[in-house]
Amino acid sequence: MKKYITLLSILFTITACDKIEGPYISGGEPYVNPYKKVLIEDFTGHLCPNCPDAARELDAIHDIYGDQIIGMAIHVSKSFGRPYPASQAPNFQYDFRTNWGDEWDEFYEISAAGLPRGMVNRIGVPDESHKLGKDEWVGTVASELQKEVNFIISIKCNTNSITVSSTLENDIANNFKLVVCLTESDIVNWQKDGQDNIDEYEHNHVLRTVISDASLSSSSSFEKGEVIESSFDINLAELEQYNIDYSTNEAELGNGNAGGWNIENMSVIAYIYDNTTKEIVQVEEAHLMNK
Amino acid sequence: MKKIAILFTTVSISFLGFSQENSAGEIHGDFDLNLQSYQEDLQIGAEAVDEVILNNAYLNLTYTKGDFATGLRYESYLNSLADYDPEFKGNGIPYRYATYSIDGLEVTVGNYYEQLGSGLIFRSYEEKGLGIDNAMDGVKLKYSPLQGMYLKTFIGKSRTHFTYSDGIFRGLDGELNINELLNSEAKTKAIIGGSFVSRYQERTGIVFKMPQNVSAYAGRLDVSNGGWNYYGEYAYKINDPANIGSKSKVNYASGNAITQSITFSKRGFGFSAEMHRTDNMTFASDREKQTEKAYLINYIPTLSKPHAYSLLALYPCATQADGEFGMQFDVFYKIKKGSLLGGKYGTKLIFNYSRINGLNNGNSILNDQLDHSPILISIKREELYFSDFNLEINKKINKKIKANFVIANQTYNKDFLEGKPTGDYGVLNSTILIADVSYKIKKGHSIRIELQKLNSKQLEHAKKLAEGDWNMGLLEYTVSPNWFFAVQDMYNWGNEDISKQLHYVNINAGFIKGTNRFSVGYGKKREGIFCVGGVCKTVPSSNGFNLSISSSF
Repeated sequence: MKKYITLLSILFTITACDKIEGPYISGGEPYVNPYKKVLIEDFTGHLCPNCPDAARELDAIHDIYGDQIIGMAIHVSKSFGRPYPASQAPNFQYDFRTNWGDEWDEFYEISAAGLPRGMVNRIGVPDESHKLGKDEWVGTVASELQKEVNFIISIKCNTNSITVSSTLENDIANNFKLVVCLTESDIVNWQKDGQDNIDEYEHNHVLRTVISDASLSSSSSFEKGEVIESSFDINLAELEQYNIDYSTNEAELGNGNAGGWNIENMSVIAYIYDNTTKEIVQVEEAHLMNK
Repeated sequence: MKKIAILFTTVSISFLGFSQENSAGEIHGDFDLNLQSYQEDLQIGAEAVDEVILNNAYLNLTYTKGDFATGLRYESYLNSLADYDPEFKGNGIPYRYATYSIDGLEVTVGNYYEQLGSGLIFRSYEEKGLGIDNAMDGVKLKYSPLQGMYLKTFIGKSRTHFTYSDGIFRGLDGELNINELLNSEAKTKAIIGGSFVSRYQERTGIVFKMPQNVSAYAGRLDVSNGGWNYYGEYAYKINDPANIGSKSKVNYASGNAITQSITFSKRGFGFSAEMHRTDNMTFASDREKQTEKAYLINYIPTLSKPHAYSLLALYPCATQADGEFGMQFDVFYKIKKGSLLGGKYGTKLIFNYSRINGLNNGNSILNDQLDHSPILISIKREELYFSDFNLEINKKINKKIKANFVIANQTYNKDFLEGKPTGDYGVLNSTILIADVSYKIKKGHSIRIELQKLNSKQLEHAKKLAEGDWNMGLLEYTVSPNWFFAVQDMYNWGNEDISKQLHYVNINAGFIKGTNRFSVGYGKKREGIFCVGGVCKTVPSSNGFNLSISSSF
């Protein structure tokens, strides 16, 4: 019996240990397509105590891959996104939620699965594996960055208009849509962080508005070298008022305190997605004031 | 679902024979319900919940017949109490099992709990107070091939909320009771044991090389002679990095832990001395979730005394599996009856001291940029996490009056233990006095009064205002065996923030009849930390009614 135990233990030890020797980074430098960019949609809320961890993870991934990673913080849900009643002022009085953020949240069922959670290029929607915990982001990012690109996006913009140029890298046929939206960074406001209520938390790349979510082209077949230009006139004051109205009239427990945009800190994010699988195939970001 | 239906049928059929004289076996069960209402209270920062009330309930059913047993647990979280992980949501039967034993072999399939040694490398358990349940689902075998030799092995996945985490665990444990093995009547008794566990998790992510099979092993020795007992255990875990996207943070260092204790006891006197050191020993059922309590699969026994008195437990110590060095000493002495200090009934003295500090420059870390291992023993110069010096005097004064007095001094590194930014609250030092007196009024009627006082100071300048001093009073009236009533007030009179110098009043009443127990209460809870055995959770402040019902058959 003793022999049997010894043998069994040795067998376990041999088969059940993966001792890793350095260098620990996989294969030195894994292949990264320098033209591929990845959008991480971080569904969050200022009342969500674990959400700052997800924001920090997004920053850490950005530190590794630089500007090939584009982040978007989408504040959603009544539980985590609502402002506090005025009686609790000044705590948590701002309403970061938007009509589009709430619609995406409902469509992709993110907050229902618990926050923080996010999507990386909206990979996995067909088999419902798209609702990723923050620790699952980096793995999906790494595999996304290996993919070939069919589009290169460039953005020209100012405070009155935005032009998105999508250049085809291959001949392809599919039904694509283009989304153009605005985000804002360096918003200093309240945020729960673990057990703490942080009054001067820096909120970055917060979704402010969606300017367009429409077909990329009337055609669904594209030729290599083709450039599709999409232009939009914008009125920032109207867009800001839209958010205020949404918070006042439609968002659950909203209070209309959704303005105060700072155009100095705003960016345009444009992305193309496959309308069947919802996968974002390319994304680009530019500062609204061309900073 | 089909399996559950079959199990239910099995249980139901057995239940039919329950109240009759049965050769059909026995069925037992217990039920537990905790309901709480939550209303907004701006003063204490309590939030109302949209549902108005939240409720946790459980029913355990067990059927046994000879060497066969089967059972299940129904759990209901509609929705879970505010101090619970909200991932516990909805209803279900997450625990069901069947087990039998024959000729020294015990077979269990379905859910089971298991602990190897003191739990350093593996502990699957449930603790409702903390909202922890990492029950395994799989197969477990126990076998005793010889007298004094005990083997067990298991394979399974660990529960997290209403699902199972990715890791598959394979475990093996062997124990030799030397005295039983040799049929010896020797005064010295020895048990040696060894355990091994391995987690398989599919490699994900391509940035870092991730081990798919992570193993941990441990050896233990338990020796006793007369009133003396020694227990020691050493555990080792190979590299177990979390797949975090940062070259400087990913950690390939191995982990280790050692725990030792020596105790002595004889009539009227006892002492124990314990120490442990842990380094990088967090072991989770999912490599990506090492910071989440629900995924922890090992347990480092705490080295601080678990206190029941509110103000003694106000600042409890959370065990740091990632790295700590701790020691604890206990002395128990009963002053004899009839002596000057012993009086008519004798006097019990219980002394306890514990001290826990960090490792030298933190726990081990190994990656492409860093390679650090802390020195083995380093106490004085390291960051103090917690210390507790307390003396309890237990005295029966006469047939009607019993008293318990405690004096304690605790040091609590609030910033570190609660994960606050360094300098927010710093280190707190508290002196606590407690008097607990029971008086038997007449047969079946007794009253108990508890008076507690905590004086606290910040040992260094801190950015945020301290909670400061507390007083606490409790009055409890018991009418045996059916009724109890209690009113309690915790008053944070020394809070540096004057708006938070508040009373936290709680009233409770309970009725017990047979195996049924009902209690209702109303009151305010302070936001704080609640620990069981060094494992802690944060409890949000709350204001509302609570109802608790428990029953068994």
